[in-house]
Amino acid sequence: MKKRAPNLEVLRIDPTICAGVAMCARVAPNTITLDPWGFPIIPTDVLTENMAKEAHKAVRACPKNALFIETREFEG
Amino acid sequence: MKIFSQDIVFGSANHELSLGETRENFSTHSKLNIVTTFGSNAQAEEFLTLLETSGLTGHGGAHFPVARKIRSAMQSPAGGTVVANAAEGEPGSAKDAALWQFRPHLVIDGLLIVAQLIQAKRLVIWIHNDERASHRSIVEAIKERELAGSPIHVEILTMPPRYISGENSSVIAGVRGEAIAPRYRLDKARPWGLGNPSILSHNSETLARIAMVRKYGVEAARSHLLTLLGLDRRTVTEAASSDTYGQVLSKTSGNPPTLFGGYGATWMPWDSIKNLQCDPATLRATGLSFGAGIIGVLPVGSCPIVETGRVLTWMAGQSARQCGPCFRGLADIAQRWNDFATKAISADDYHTMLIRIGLIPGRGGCAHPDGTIRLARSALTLFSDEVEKHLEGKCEYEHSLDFLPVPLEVATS
Repeated sequence: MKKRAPNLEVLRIDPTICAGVAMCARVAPNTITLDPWGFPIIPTDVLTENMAKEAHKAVRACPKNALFIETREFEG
Repeated sequence: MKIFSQDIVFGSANHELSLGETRENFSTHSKLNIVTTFGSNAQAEEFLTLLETSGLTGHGGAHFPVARKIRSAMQSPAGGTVVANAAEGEPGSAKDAALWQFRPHLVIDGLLIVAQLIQAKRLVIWIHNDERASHRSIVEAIKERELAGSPIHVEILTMPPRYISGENSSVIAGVRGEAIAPRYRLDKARPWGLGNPSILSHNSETLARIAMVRKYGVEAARSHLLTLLGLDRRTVTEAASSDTYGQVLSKTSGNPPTLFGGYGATWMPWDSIKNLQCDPATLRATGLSFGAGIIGVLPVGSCPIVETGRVLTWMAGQSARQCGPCFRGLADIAQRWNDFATKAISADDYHTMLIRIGLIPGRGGCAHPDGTIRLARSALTLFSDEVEKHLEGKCEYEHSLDFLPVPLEVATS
């Protein structure tokens, strides 16, 4: 029996919606940093388990709904 | 097979000079007998294969393969829209203007061909509201077709002359009746506007080339329009893929800094482009981009660092003001750059600017910030000696001449 591979998660942002409210960086300090202009810098890599926990919080916290999680099938 | 027989010169104060080139009217154009319809699906397929073989790519700047874009749209149900994008956002470009003012029917034929292929029911010409000469020529062309008994139903949609309103996703949004601003999409490689039904937008030159390929075959895809910047004029010239930039600009001497492609493209030293061929595919293979086909050879008295600052200021002002890294970031970079270009800034301040430049690419909804930063970075890489000079408060080029055309910010709505 093949073990089912885990889904990999990536945090994404729609920059046209993001208004720099910055609540995401507050709830996900180890995952999201702010640039000098106050806008979030989102990791482009697949999230580690700890980062994923924070990222989900950030998605829920964003008052503009600019953040979302993209899942990718594990291709290994 | 070329579209124009002569160069077309747009002089200062919007005074158009055509040296021997005359505007086609419908009766002269119809002698070409370009067939815009297809008798059967097999004929349509045959033409698409021809387009593929020709290697024609979009001439707006992104150079996406044209046949692939049309084929994608053909997957969607009939009843879509085809747009001729005549919103020439680059102040240095005049090729759309040349086409619409001298070969309007050729572009319209390209529009009709694409409309046939994707079975579109709506045809749109998308143009800035300050392009009066082109607009007149389009209206005239539509009237000529009507009088000749071959009426076409084309909508002319106009909008304020913002750089970003010619961007593909802005065009699609505008045609849908939504706000004219770029849209965010996850898959940037996918031509925007595919759906149910599709809205397909093509650059004006692309459409003209499609019509040319229909008439003359694959050879017609092997020439490209360039706009050469001069002190008091923009010259639209047509180069064959086999021509080198050195042949096209044969009077260029020395090794002047050259703007290559457009304001979202790169600087190049003249020496490294003069032997390159004017061909999008060849350039892509060497990691360069044909861009929008603008070539700006800097004259004596014009410094690439200062010129870059002028362009950055304008590009920052042209942001659609949707994405923070673009409208806040570019404005900040432009200000820092102009300080760097015109006064001796500290090494620390210079370092801060570099770090901030690195924070922008990939973080906008469209490619506007990426292109702007690409130009800035190419200036830093190629003119590193001049960068050092400016950090010492000097300018080797003794800048006294603002060369690149940059419109003043005016109210546009």
